[in-house]
Amino acid sequence: MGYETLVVGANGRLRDLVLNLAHAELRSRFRATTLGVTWSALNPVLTAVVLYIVFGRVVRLGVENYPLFVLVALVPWGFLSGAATQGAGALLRHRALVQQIRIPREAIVLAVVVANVPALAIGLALVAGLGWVQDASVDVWLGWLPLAIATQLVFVTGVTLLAAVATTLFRDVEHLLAVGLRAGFFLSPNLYPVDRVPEAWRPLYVLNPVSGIVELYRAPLLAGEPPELAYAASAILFSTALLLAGAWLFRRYEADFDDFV
Amino acid sequence: MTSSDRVLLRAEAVTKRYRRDGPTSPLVQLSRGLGRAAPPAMVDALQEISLQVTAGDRLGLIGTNGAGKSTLLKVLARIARPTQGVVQRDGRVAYLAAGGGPLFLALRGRENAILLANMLGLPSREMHRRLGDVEARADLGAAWNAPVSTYSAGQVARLTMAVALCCELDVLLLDETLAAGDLGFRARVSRELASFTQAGGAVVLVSHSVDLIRAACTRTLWLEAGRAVRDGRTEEVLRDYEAAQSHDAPHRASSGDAVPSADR
Repeated sequence: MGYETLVVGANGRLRDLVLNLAHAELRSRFRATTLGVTWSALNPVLTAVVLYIVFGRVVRLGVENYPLFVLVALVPWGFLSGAATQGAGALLRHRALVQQIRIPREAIVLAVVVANVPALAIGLALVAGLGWVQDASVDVWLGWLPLAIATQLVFVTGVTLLAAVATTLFRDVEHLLAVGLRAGFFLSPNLYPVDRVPEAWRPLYVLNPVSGIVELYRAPLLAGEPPELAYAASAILFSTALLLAGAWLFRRYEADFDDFV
Repeated sequence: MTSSDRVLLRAEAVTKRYRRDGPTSPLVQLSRGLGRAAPPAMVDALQEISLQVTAGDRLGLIGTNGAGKSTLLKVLARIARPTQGVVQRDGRVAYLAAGGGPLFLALRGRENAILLANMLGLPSREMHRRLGDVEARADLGAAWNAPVSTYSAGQVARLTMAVALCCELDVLLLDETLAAGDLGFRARVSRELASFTQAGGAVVLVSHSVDLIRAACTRTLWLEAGRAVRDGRTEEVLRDYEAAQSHDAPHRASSGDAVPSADR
């Protein structure tokens, strides 16, 4: 059996497996909850409310339209942290799928990414709604949205594959990842605009792919302008490199995973 | 059996070595290695096993606990990588354990059937076409639409086997998969496996039930402590095995050579 491709759409069997695994993952996670997957979308909204109170009212960053500014970054961040956190432990959590049957093992990790897509979709719909209420450039935003989502999918899939391989080989990574994600959240321009960052630090922000992804989601919506090229290009390049590295490492170690889970 | 028969599986001098203390991350291994020189205790779950499975074969695997039966199936299925030796496969090979580990408890029998078929390489669309057949074969009644969390071990076995037999596989590696089924189920599956192999498939069956091996397998391989003791006609191998069992039973319990993990 040749499981040669990581391009899910190009392989019908892998695609069906990933979709049905994602469905099973969601059903298991939200079994017996009333709101189901809506919870994953409510999470960024509730966080946005808190952040609005803190940085819009208490500390007063003075950023215009702060609730929308912060929500349009929190929704994609929720997708990243959800997929990476769940993906890191996925091979260990689904030990039976590694040790008791032979499937293309990348499907287990890809399913985690796919299982987080509905929450992203609901979250982005909420962003559009809030943007519409606040008279932001929702039409411009919708034009840029496919590129933003595509870039983010590539980035998140790469990060999640790397997290899964690393956690399976070194269990400590799961804890390190939690710290890394928290640091990444504050060090990426989620809560503040990049122009508040000291000039000397800016190059680091250009290199951070999350800055570019936030820029892709945020600039068209709030300013009605195209995203800044340096940030967007850096995010696209970096995300692609990350996905290739993740896919390569996964392929390199997947045959031995049963020794490690 | 003529020499023109299609060889579906070939294992050559396969050895599988595990650390006795279980999976350990490379970093921990490194730090321990720097700490003291003593190499980790290793155990050979399989030692230089060679085996050939041809179309039409119904091969039984017997041996005491820890003999390496499951490990051999997993190496053949590509779940585990052999430490040494080569495994060659021709066709689609599936390992199916008892207990339904790959099933999702929150999903219904029907949904699990589709997912399990996906895992075994069948696209959903193709599986939907066969669902009626699988439902009839599984014979679960109302449980077909109930979550698998409500299933008995026997119902899990029925569902697993019904799906496996519809997925156009070439080799079924069954690890006590039938054990939880009742007599009627086992008799029926034995017949189905016979027609499966007549149609060009092959079955390798691990079981502690000598009766099941006798009924379902034409050839039997006897493993002990990772080594092949005998490979031959089921009747003859079982006769020797049973004689050894009754002879060895008193002191076998003290033997420390067994691989500890039951689910390897």
